[in-house]
Amino acid sequence: MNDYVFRSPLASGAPFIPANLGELDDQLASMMLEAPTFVDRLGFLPDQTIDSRFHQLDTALSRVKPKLGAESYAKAVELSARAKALFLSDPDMTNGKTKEGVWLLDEISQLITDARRRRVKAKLRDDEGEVTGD
Amino acid sequence: MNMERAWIPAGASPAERRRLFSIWVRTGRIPTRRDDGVELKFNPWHDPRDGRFTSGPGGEAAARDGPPERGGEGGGVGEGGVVRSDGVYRPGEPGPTLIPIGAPEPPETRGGNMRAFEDPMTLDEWQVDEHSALGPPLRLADQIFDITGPGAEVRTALMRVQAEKILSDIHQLDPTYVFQSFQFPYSEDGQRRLIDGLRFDRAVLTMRVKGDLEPLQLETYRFAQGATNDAYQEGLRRLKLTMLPIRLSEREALGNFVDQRVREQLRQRFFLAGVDCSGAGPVRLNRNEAVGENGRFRRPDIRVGDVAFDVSLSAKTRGQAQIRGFFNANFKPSMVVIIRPSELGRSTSYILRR
Repeated sequence: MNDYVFRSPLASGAPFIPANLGELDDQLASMMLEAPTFVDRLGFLPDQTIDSRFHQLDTALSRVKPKLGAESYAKAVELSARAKALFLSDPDMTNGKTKEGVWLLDEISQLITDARRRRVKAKLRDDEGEVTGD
Repeated sequence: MNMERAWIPAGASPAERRRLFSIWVRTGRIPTRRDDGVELKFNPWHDPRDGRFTSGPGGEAAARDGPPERGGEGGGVGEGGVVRSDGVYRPGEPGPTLIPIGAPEPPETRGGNMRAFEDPMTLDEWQVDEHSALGPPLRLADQIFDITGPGAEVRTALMRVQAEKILSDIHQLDPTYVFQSFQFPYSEDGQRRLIDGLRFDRAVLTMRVKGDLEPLQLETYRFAQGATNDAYQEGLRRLKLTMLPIRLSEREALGNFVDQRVREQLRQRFFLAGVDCSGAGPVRLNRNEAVGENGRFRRPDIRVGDVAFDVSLSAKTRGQAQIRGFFNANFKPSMVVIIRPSELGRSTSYILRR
């Protein structure tokens, strides 16, 4: 049980929001290893909850909406809401809904991968001027 | 605390300056060197009365010398017939300490817990001194806390010394750093979290104030190693439960999940400390690093200054194309650190040097 939480004076207090498609994909993979409770195991994010995690995800999706495209963005938002509901209904990983929710997160990851492939094919550049799919 | 200023020799290298500064903050003294470079050590068992060196409590000299002739503060027979040695002077203490003869050795003087007073600040200082065909192995990330034997109270005292030392270093760098903690954590986990947090902040401030990236390179490795171990264990567990999607193979899936999880956790960790790792700064995660001028690039998992880090399930060698590519990158890394799950063996993470 955690009896102590380190809070750095250097922290701004704002949550980290992925800034591009690659960072968003990394967050999805990370969430698949945290579902269904999303409690931070390393001990440096004591305030992390399922709500904060999905806030990060949904905010990041809205940031990359122009790169995803309207249709993929709408699909991703719908998948996110369904996944969260599944995790909330299976907090102890006993009824199979956590696995269903993880598979929905993977579907969002596939939408992101498709968007990155389209960007590479179209030679669209990222914020550093590189063709990375981001 | 009010201490005399540390006069560190002007010609000292950055690593030596850090070492001397650390000793000064801890003891109030700068080690003295003779002209031939030999460092003179302070012997805590020096008997100031006659200039002889005792062997400490219960040792031969104590048995030979017998009870001291004078009583009072300097010695004498104590309660229950216990003979006390003369007072001996320890570094950093204003007066003599009375050590009962035959008493258990105080944990802060010698033996396996000397590591409790180490304060490594670079990857070089974190290397294990043993031969490996792959490259100099690195200590496990949490071996900074290898305090064996004593009970909770002594462990807490040792950890408190570490924390206070690091906080003092931070205030030397940034006097405006305000750390509020109402109570020193009692549990070992809580103490580790506190010290890890302070070490990371000190490394970030060292980068900002002095432009020195070495402490941040070490803390990046320590954090990434912990994240790698966690991701590997959790990934294995979930794969066994068929809770993770697989595309090509279980190993490929596990490797990808570990890579992505470690990068994501590091981004969050750096963000918490106000470090931007997505742009043109010295800390970059999974970004293209140019090789030559023809549009070729390599993409290390992590880059902090001139050190690249690669998270991997398998061992990698200098001869492999990926590693050769890292060393050929325009930022000319001085080393490539291979980070592998500790569950795979004792010294599985190691350094490949240019």
